[in-house]
Amino acid sequence: MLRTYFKSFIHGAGFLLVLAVLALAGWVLDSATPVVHFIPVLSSYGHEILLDIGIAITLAVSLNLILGIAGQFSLGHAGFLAAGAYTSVLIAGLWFEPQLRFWMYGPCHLSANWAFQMIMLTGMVGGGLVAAVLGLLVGLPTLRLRGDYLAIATLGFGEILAVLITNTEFLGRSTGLSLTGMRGEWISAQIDANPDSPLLKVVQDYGENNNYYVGVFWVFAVAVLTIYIVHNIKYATSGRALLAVREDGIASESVGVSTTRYKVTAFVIGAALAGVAGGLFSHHKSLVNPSSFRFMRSIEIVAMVILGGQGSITGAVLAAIILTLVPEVLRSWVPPSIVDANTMEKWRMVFYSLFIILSMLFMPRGLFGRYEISDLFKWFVRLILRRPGVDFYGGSLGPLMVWAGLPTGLGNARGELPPGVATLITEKEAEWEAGTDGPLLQVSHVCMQFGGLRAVDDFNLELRHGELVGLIGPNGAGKTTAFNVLTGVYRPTAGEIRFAGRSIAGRRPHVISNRGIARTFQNIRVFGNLSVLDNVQIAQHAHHRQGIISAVMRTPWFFAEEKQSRRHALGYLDLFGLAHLANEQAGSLSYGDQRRLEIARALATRPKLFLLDEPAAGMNPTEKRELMEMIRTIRARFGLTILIIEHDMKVIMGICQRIVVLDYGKTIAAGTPDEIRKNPAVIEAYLGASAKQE
Amino acid sequence: MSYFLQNLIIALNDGSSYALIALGYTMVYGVLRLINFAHGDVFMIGAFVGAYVARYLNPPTVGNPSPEQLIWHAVIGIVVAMMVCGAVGYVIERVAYRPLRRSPKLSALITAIGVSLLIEYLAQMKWTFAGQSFFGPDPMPYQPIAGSGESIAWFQNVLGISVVPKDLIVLATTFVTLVCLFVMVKYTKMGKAMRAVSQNYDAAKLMGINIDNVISFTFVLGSMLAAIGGCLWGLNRNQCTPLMGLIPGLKAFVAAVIGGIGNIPGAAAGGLALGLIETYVSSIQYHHSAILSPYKDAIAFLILILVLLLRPEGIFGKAVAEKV
Repeated sequence: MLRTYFKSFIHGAGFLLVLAVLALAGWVLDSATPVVHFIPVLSSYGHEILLDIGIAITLAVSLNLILGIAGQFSLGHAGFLAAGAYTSVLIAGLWFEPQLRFWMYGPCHLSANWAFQMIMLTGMVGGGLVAAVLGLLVGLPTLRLRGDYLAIATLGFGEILAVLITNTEFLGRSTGLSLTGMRGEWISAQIDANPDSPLLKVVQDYGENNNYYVGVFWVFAVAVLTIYIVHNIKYATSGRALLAVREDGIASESVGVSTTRYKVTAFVIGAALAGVAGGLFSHHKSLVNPSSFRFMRSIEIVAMVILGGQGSITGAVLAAIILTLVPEVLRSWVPPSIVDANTMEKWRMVFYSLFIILSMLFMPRGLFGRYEISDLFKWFVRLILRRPGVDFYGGSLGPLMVWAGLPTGLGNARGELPPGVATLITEKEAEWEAGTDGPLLQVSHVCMQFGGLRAVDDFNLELRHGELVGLIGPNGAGKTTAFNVLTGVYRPTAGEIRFAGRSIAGRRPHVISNRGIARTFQNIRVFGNLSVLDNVQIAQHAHHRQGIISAVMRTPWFFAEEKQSRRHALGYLDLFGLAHLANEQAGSLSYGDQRRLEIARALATRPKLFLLDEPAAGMNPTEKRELMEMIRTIRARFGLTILIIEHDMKVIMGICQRIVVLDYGKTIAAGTPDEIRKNPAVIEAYLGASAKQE
Repeated sequence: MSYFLQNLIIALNDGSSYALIALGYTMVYGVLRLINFAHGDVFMIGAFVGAYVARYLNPPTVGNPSPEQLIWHAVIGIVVAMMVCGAVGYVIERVAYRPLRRSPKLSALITAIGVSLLIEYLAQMKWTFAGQSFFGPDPMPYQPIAGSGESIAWFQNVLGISVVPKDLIVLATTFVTLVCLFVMVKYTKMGKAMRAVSQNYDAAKLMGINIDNVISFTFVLGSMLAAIGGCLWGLNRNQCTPLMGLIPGLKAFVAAVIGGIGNIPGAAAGGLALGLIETYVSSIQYHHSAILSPYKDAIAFLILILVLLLRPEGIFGKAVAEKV
């Protein structure tokens, strides 16, 4: 327990420490008379660039949460920046005097400098909130769209926002709003009304003495905070769920992850962070107008994420720095005396675009691909320090702690199944006998119609607890469609499905998964770009209690749960002999291992009913025998009820207690393997009418 | 009534250009699943080339040419613009997109955006050619066409609307182009190959279709259509600027999505429909002022979002369900 608290401190408070260091640096850089003389004071131009970089980092990393990690292609990020910027200008401009009065003469008695900073801070918070609300309003309807369609819809949102701002008097139309202008108006109004007011003098003094109250500190504090938040979301239950959604929406729903909820959450958090950046942006530039938030601005941010590598936070930070610096470096190349300023500006942009094209041509996956700087540390620990067996907790500091010899707590974690999961079927039988809730699954009169095609027609099925039933039929008989209806991928056009006494017809797949139905897919759907361990941990999603907030704060409970989840995942992998592959990429596994991984993943959702869709496809006779053995074993060990689709009659006849036969969507036979073998209708469906006559 | 008809002429004029650009977007998307962001800039190049040719043939120093001559100038301008843009389209595909065909889709998209930026900024620099300034930061006047100010008498007298000869040229050119395109896509070998590639890239390859040729051809064809669209747009607006491709390009893409992206008749219909809706919505009068006209640019995107939410596959598109 002490270790966990210690780790929580390192990860949670460690970042606060970084913030404190930044605060010091910011104070040194910002103060007009530097206390420490050996730190060179930046010119105002250098200062400006530094601020631009900080804001760019925030924008790139926040978009990376949406585009890179959750895989939702948004081309409207500048819209959220605009929302934040305008909100903060309005907050600072409209309520300038009351705010100043509150901070300086209210309960806090702050200095003028700090009062101005607080005004900016309220603007940032307000901007973040407004952007978050906007993100929710835009995200809820549009996130149903996929890929390019989502991109175009969000692009449309950004353009609409720009047009609305351009036509709103209140928001200054195309001229925009000027913070200094609004303050100037206040000053002249004060001079007329009460020239002796102490506030007036404060503001006048402040305006003369301080140009950089935004300062490096706040900009980089927000940048670091953004990195911290996105990092902690990425390496937690929430992050794995987001990556799963990016990899394969249907598979993530099947293991109990609500794709909609996660997409919208990522979108809202990303939007809120962009809104905070907008608050900084407006106070930094002191002028906001719609032209700074058009489509090109969104594109710039997208370019940063792609150039950095989709999903890589390190990459996004680096790309934000590079893409902000490149135009500035180009500026210093050509002395302004040679070419006139306007032409030089154009050349600068020509080189900038060439830079983007070339870097994409030579690094199509971006600077870092999917990797982070911490993956470099991991590689370092495993290969250079020769400690290949070391497991890391998923965050970035893990490898560093291993290197420094600090306890990571997860060291060489041993696998162990969750308590209560592995109950022998013989023990459960007594329980089922006593229970009065009837059959586990009851499907009555289910139809599934696609246009004119009735893929499943009046499908009836009853599964008692602990049964092992086969579903067979010729190709196109509607077997997989029946599975899709049972697991909620399709909403049945008619009929009723009751599972464990409750209706599940038409429920979303993740809800059905959480109720206790797990499945595998005909064409394997493992999360190919994630690790084997992650694949199984994602499936435990419904059994995790620590949400995004706990993950962001890195609470002790978060670590405890993470540790446990990891141990359980390893337990499932052990069961299938995959534990030694835990850190491999799932997509790099052999076909048979991927099938096994998919079964392990489905089991990790702790189902009552397990649907297997052609598990023996592509297996050789030996593997098929092993598979049959495995199905019997997991049924006995986990007390499962199993429904299995399979073409291989040896497998079906070998393990099933009952068989249901579908043809053209209709149930043509049901019974024990022996009955089915002799059933004339089944023979006709498989071999044709002539076979029956012979 | 005459107000309605007058707007119809304006709407069809805009819609023609949208339709011609949208076709390029939709064809490229059909074969490559790539939003060719540089397409709007090819359109801009087309407009500039057309303007340049018209001016080269009839320098401002020479006296007034006859109306027939001006029409010929415009037509020659369109043809030259088609050739130049076709070449530009070919180069863009060859240099910027082909190397990325096996890379993540987003990388190709970013490259497309890079190409778009490159063209825009190159066009904003001063270029002189044969003693005449070519591209440049300043708007370039488009040679006015015969009697652009005077309406054809028949329309003026019978329908009470003003239709200048260039309106007719725009509509006729669009009509002829669309007919030629549909015939080509439907009845030629290359057209069939294009349709095959857009149906199934890999299967088309296995059937012996030279994918590289088809994709190059699609880019060249799309760019030529954009060139026509650019010249017509220039004729309409009487001027061209380096950034003129940005907004019509985006809107044409919207038109392609509305029509069902990848669907060729859908793009043409979507473009014309967008022109109509935009013009009519922004001409709605309330207390004798067109209250919605400042929001003209937002209308297209609003329609886009509505269409995407109600029918994501577009009006003429076909929904493709994901196989589970």
